[in-house]
Amino acid sequence: MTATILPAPHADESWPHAVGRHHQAPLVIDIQGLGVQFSGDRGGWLKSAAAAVTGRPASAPIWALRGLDLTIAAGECLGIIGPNGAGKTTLLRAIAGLIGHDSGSLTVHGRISALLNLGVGFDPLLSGRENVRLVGSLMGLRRQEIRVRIDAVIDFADIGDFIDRPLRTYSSGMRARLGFATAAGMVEPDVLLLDEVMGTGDAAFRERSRERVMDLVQDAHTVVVASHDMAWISEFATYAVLLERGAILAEGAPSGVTTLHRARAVVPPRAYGCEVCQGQSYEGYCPRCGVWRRDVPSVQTA
Amino acid sequence: MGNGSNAADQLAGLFAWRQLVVDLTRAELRRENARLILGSLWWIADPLLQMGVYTLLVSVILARPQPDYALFILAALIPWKGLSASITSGSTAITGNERIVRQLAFPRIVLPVARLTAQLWRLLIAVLAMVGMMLVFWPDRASTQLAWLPALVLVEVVFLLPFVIALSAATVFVRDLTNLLRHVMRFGLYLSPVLYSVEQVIDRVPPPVTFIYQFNPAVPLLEAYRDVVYRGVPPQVTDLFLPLGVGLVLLVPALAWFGRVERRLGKLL
Repeated sequence: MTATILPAPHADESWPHAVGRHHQAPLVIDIQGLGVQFSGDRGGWLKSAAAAVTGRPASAPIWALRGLDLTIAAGECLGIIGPNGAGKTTLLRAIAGLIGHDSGSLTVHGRISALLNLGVGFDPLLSGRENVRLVGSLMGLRRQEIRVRIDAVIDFADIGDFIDRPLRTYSSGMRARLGFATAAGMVEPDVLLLDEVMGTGDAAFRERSRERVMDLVQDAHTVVVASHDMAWISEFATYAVLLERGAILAEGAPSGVTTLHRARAVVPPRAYGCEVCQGQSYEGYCPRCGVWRRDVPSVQTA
Repeated sequence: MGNGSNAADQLAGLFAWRQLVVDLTRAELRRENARLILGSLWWIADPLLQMGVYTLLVSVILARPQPDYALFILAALIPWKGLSASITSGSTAITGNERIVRQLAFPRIVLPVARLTAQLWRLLIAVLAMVGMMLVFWPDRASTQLAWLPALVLVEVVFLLPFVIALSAATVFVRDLTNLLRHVMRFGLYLSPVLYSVEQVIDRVPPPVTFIYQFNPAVPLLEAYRDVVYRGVPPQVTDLFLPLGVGLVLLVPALAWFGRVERRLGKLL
């Protein structure tokens, strides 16, 4: 599948990256022909053991990403969109170095902070503070750096006394807030990877996390977001990529790419017939059965 | 996580991330203390309860004469617990930390190593508690030979290191290993001189079995603990080169193999 470049709606002013967007800023992520495969079903213990010893996959592979070319420059905010199973998270995990790739090349310059699944890395038995410290250590920070940053992280998460209670007592929103605060505040990342995180927390926290992401973008940091929030992508992303079945279907101006995604996602209007009597219905109402069908967008005669 | 990772790269990564090993070890002990009322004290309570069961079984029910039988088995049960707990908990070092492995890109080698250092810490507590109990209950058996104990603990950890590293990665590929290892370790308990001494076996079994027995690396280790604790004599130092050598020789291939499969672990979790 070859990538299609959408024409930029306002290539001259409102979307400066439209043409030759990498010419001014240094490349941060350079992906060429990236392919990631997962082995399919487990082929029984003998096969898995053989796979472990020989280093070959056990069964027929599934390509989660195929022949992906993508470059991201410093200061860009890249939005990755696409249906479930398109490979968005796989791409983020490959960029984060969490999974290896099986073809092509992937080069990342700079420090990465990945926020792939908010708060999932936390331990339910340890307190919030202990968890933040441990995650800081897992990110490769020295004790000194953790000590300097931890107060700011806790302030940002703003969960009050809960910070010293075990994580199992947290609501999912609090967990997500602490997760975001840790990933976005513990390190000063060159590249921040976010996986569907804009919809977490309450309205006030969402606003603050949005500000934090914008700050990072403005400081010439690079942000890569995988999201289903089309409004967010078209408003804040500087470039967008539409993934489908592991390949880039389209890329370019966020407003255009999100529109394309929406258009593809909507099921084409089809004739509506009453599901009860199979007869014709008007405005979702079947006069013969006396049934109102509520979720009908518009009436199409059969 | 580049290609061509080898044993030296793994060791370098481990050294660069040594602070994480300490933090993970502390978190594990902290977690244990948060979950259990007795926390790490279970590490001494477990062998003590086991000691009670076996002492009752052997000295009272089977009426086998053996002076201070309780100390006789405790001296071997504690290092045995060190071996079996390290193997079983080390094998789940990566699968059990799935959540952080899926999230963060640190060198995976720190996980099995941190599990082993946590076990080392518990083993030290248990050994200290055993020495304390000796001074109270069996003061006439306590001798200056007890000063060997730290060295024996060190030999035990060196011996365990390659096994823990290799098993932690192997379990990701073959999850069944966790179940299997529990039984292997139980079997190993009876094949090792824990409930009996080597002399008792040498008399009774045919030569082929004693020949195999000589190559069980746990035998000299457990006997050495028993020598210094129960018998009050210095350990057979030359015999200790077997577990020490096995540990050091296997460490290089274990690290190299770990480095080779490390980048594939992420996809299997």
